[in-house]
Amino acid sequence: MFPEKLPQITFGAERPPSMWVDEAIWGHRLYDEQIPWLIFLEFLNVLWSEERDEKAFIETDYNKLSYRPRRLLPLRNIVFNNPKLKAIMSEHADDSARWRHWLKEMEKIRGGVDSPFSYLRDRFNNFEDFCEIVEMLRATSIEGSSNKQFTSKFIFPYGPDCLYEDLDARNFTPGRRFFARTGELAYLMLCRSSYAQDILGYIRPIVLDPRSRWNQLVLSLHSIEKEKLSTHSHAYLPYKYLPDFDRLAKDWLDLLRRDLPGYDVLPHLVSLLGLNMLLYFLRRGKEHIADSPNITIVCEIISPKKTVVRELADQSYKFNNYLSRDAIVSYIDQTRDSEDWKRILAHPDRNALARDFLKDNFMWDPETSAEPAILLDMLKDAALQRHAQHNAKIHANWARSLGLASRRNTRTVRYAPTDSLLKSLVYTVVDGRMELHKFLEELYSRYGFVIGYAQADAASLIGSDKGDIQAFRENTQRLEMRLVSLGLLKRLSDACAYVQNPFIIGGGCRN
Amino acid sequence: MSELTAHLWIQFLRKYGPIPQNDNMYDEAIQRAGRYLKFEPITFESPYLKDLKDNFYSETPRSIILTGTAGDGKTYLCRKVWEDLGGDLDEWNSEKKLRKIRIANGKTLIVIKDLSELRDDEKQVLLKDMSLSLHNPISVMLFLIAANDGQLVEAWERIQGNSKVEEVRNSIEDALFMGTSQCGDFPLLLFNLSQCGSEKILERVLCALFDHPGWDGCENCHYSSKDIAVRCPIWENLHRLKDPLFKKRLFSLLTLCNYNGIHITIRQLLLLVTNALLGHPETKDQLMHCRDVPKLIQEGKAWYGNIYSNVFGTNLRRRRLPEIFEVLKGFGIGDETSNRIDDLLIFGLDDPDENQRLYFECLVGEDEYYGANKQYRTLQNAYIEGEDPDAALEFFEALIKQRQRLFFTIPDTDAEDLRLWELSVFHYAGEYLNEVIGALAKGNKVPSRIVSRLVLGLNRIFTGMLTSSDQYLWLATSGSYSQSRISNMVEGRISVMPDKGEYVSIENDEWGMIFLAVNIDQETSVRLPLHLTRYEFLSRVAEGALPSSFSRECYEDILSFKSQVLARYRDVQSKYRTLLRTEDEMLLRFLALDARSQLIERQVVVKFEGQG
Repeated sequence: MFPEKLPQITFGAERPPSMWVDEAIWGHRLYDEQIPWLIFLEFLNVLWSEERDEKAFIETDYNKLSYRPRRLLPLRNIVFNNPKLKAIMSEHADDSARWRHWLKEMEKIRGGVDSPFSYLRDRFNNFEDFCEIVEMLRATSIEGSSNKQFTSKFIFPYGPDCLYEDLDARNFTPGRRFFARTGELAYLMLCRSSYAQDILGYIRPIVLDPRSRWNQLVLSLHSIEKEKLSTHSHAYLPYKYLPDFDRLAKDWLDLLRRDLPGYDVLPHLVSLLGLNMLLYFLRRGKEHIADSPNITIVCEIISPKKTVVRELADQSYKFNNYLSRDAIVSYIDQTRDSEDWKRILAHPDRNALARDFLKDNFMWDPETSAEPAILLDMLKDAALQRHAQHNAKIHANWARSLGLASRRNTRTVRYAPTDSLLKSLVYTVVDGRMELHKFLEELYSRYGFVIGYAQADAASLIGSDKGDIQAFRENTQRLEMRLVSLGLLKRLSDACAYVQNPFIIGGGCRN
Repeated sequence: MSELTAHLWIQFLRKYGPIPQNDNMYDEAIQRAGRYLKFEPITFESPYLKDLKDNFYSETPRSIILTGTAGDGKTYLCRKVWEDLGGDLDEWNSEKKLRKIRIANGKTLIVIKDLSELRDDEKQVLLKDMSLSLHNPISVMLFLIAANDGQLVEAWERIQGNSKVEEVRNSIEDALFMGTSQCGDFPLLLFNLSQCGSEKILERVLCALFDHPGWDGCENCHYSSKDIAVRCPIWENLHRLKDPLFKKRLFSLLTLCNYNGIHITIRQLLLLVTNALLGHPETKDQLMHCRDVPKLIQEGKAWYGNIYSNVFGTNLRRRRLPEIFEVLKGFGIGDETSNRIDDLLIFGLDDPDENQRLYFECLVGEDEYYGANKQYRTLQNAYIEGEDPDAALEFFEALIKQRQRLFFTIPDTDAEDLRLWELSVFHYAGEYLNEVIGALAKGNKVPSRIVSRLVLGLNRIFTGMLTSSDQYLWLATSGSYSQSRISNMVEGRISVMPDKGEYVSIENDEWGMIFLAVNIDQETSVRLPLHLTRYEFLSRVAEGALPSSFSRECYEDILSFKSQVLARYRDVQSKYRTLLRTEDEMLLRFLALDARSQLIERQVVVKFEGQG
C-alpha cells in the first residue's frame, strides 16, 4: 500500500520524459549523478529565486513551481575557467603588466561572456589581491577539483550571489546532469513539511543575505551587466504529505538551531539532506513491493576483521540496492489487476485501447502494436532498461557520497558510516546529552540504522547463535570508541556512556 | 605463628588475584574464603563511609544513591552502614532484596544493596515511591540504593512516569553527568564511587595489606632469609612494594589514569597488588603458592617473579587480561625506550662514558635479585659477543624487564637526566604530573612556557600550517568552513598573555578537572578539558614529532574545540561589528608564514564601488 498520489503534470511545449514510471513513484525527478551537495545547491537556487519573488517555501498550487535561477557566467569564468592566473602572477613583476596579460588571456578563453573583464581592475588594489581571492574561492569550491566542465563547478554558497545553475559548456543551456531537479524535489518536500517557515528564518541570514561579508566578496567579481534568465518548471513531487518530509525538515531545523559558527552548519545540512533523500528513495521503493515502507540499514562500525555485523551490513546493502528495481516491476504489474485494464482486455479493439492506456498513464508509446499482455511486458522491459541507466544507481552513489556506505577493508560495498556522517548525526539527534543506547534507538526509529544488539533484535536479525549478540555488542563498543575520539561521547563507566553534542539549541556551547 | 599459617595466608591472598575462578569476585566470596581459612579479609575504611554515617545520624538525613562501576565496593558500603545502624547480620545475609530499618530520627530507611536484583515491576514500584517521597517534605521514608550507573539510568528511564518522576530522573542524570553529589533541590545525594581517585584508595589498600597479621607467619620462614640465594620472591616483592619510590611511581601511573578519565575499581586494585606480589609465569595460574618457592629457588627461576613486570601483568597467560593490566600496559612501559637507557642497559660496565657506567652500577648492578643478576650478565655478554641469535631474542626479553624495573627504581634526582618518562609513551607525563597537576593542586600557576607550547600545538592544528607562533591563539577558517585541514583566512587572534580580558591559561575546577581556558573577554571563556592524552598530543605537535598512534584520535577533538572557540569569538565580535565594517570596501585577512615561521597577516582590500 502506498500514499495517494497527486495528478500527473503536463509538459506543454517542453519535451516530456520518455516515459512516466520512475517519475510516478519518486517524482520528476531523482538522479544518481546529482550527489547531495549538488542537490543542496540546486535547492538553494530555487529558494533564492522564490525569495526574490517573496514566495519562499510557499506552494500555492501543488507542483506548479516555476523559478528563474541565475547564470553568472563572468564570475564562473574568473574562478573556474582561468588556468593561467597563477602563471601570469609569477611571470610578471609589474602590476599593470599582470592585468594586461591576464585580460588578453581571458579574451581568448572566456566562455559564454561577451563583455571584457576590465571592470575588475577598479575593484582591487592590485593583481595579487585579486589572485588571492580567486585562489581562495577555488580552494573552497564544490566539485572545483573534479574534472567536470567549468560550468558544472560551483562556488561555495556564501550568499545569494554565489548561486547559479548548472550549464552545458557547449551551448550554455541548462545542464540537466548535475542539476537534475532533485534539488527542486527537496525544495517541494520542505515546502510541504510543517517547519518550512521556521527553517527559512534560520537559513536566511546564512545563505540568503546579500549584505553578508562573504557574499559581498564574491559580488566584487560580478560583472554589472544584466543577464537574461530562463524559467524552470515541471518539477513534480507525487505526494501531498509524507512523514519523510517532516523528518527532513525537523532534522534541518534541529541543526540550524544549534547555532554553529558561520557556514559550519552547511556540510551537516547536506549530510542530513542526502540521508533523508536516500531514505525517501528507498521507502517509496519498499512500499511498492511490501506492506510497510520501513527500511533497515545495518551499519558496521568499521572493524579490523570480518564480523557477523559486516555480513549483515553487506546483505542489507544488497537488499536495499534492488528495491527500486523491484518497485518498477511491481508498479507496472499492478496495472494488470486494475478495472480499466480488465475492461480493455474484454474489448474487441483491445490492442489500440491498450496502447492509448499506456500512453496516458505511462507516457509511453510502443513502436509496434501488439496484444495488451505483450505490450505490458515490453513496457516493463523498457522501463527496467531506462531505470538501470541512472535511477538504479541512486542508492549506491548517494550512500557512498554521503558517507553511509564504504568499501574500506573489504572488496564489496556495505553500510559503514564515516566519522563525518556520525558527527552530523550527533549534531542533529542529540540535544546536550543522550544516553548511548537511547541514541542508538533514536537512529533506528528515525533512519532504520541497526548498530546495537537491541536494534538488531527489533529488526529480527538475531539468529539463535549467541555470537550474533556479541557481534552487535562489539559493534556498539566500536561506535563508543569512535565517538570518544571525536570528542562526542563521555563515558561514565563500562555500563554507562553519554553521547554529547557540544552545540546546544539556542546557541552557546557546553564544555 | 608457623610456616603453615604463612602457607594458608598466601592461599587466601591468591583469592584476591587474577585467578580464572575469580572473574566474578564479590564481597560475598571473599567473606566465605576468609571464614573458611580463618583470616580476616583485607579491610580499610572507605572514604565515603563517614559521610554516609553522618548523613543518617543527622537532624535532616537525606536519601542516598551509591553508584559506580562493579567492584567499587558498593555492596560493602551498604553492609557497613547497615551494621552501623544496628541492622541484623542474619537478615543481611538472607535472600531478601529489600531491607527496612528504623533509624534515630524517627525515619525508616529502605536499603537496596543491588538494584539489579529487583524485577522490573519491583523497580517501578520502588522508584515511584522514592520519587513521591522525595517530593514530600514531611516524608518519613529514606532510601539507600546501590546500583551501577548504567542500571540506574536505565531503571529510571523505564518508569512510565509523570512530570514528578521526570524531575527526579533529570536531577539524578545531571548529578551523574556533571559529577556532583546534590541532586537538584531534592533531599537526595548521589555518591559516585568511581569518582574517588584510585591512587588514594591504593594507599589505603596497601596499608591494610602490609598491616595484615597474615604476614606474621613469614617472619620465621626459612626463605625469608637475608641470603639472596635462598630468598623467597614473595617476601622480596613485599619489601619492594613497601619501597616509597616504588609506591610513588605506581601512584603516579594511577593518578595519570585518573586524569585520563580511566577509573580503576577497588577490585582491580586488589588484583594489581596481589599479582605484583605473587605473579610468576611458571606456576599454576601464574600466581605463586608457598609450596612453589623451594623449587623455583632451586632451579634459579625465582627472579621470574619480578614485581616490576608483574605490575603490568606480564606473567599472566590469559587471552584477555584483567582491565587494570590492559590499562597499565597502555603506558607502553618496557617497550618504549631511549638510546640513553638502552645503551646503559646493553653496554653496562663496558660503556666508554663514565657517567653511564656509574648509572649502571647503582641502578642495575647493585640489584642482584632482579637487576644484573647472573642470568642477565650471561645474556648481556652473549649479545655483545653476538654469536647466538637466539640469545639475542632472550636478551631483548630481559631488556623489557629491565626497562620496567628502571621505571620504578630511577631516583627522582636522576629522573630528569635520564628522561624517565621516555620509558613510557607519554614523554610529557612527568611534567604533567609535577608542573600541571602538582602546581594547580598547590594553588600555583602553570608555567607560561607550558601554556605557550600548548598554544603552539593548537595554532598548528587550527591553521594547518607549520608555524612557531605561540604568543597568540590564531583563529582561522578556510572561508567557508572552520573544519578544513588548512585554514588561511584570519578570523581573529587571542592574546596568550592577559590583554583587555583576553588570555589563555591552564586551570582546574572545583572537582580537580584540568582544562585549558581560552578567555575571549571578561565574561566569555571556552574550556578544553586537558587530559593526559590531549596534553601529550598538543605537546608533541608543538615539538614537531607527531606519533602516528594518536594523530586521528585527538585531531578531531581539537577541531571541534576550534569550532566552539570560533562560535564564542564571533559572539563577542558581533558586539563591535558596526565599527569594523565600512560600506564601500572590505578588508580580508589572509594568513601566511614569515621567514621565522611566525604567522603573519596579509591584508587584501576589495572595493564595492558601482555595484548593484
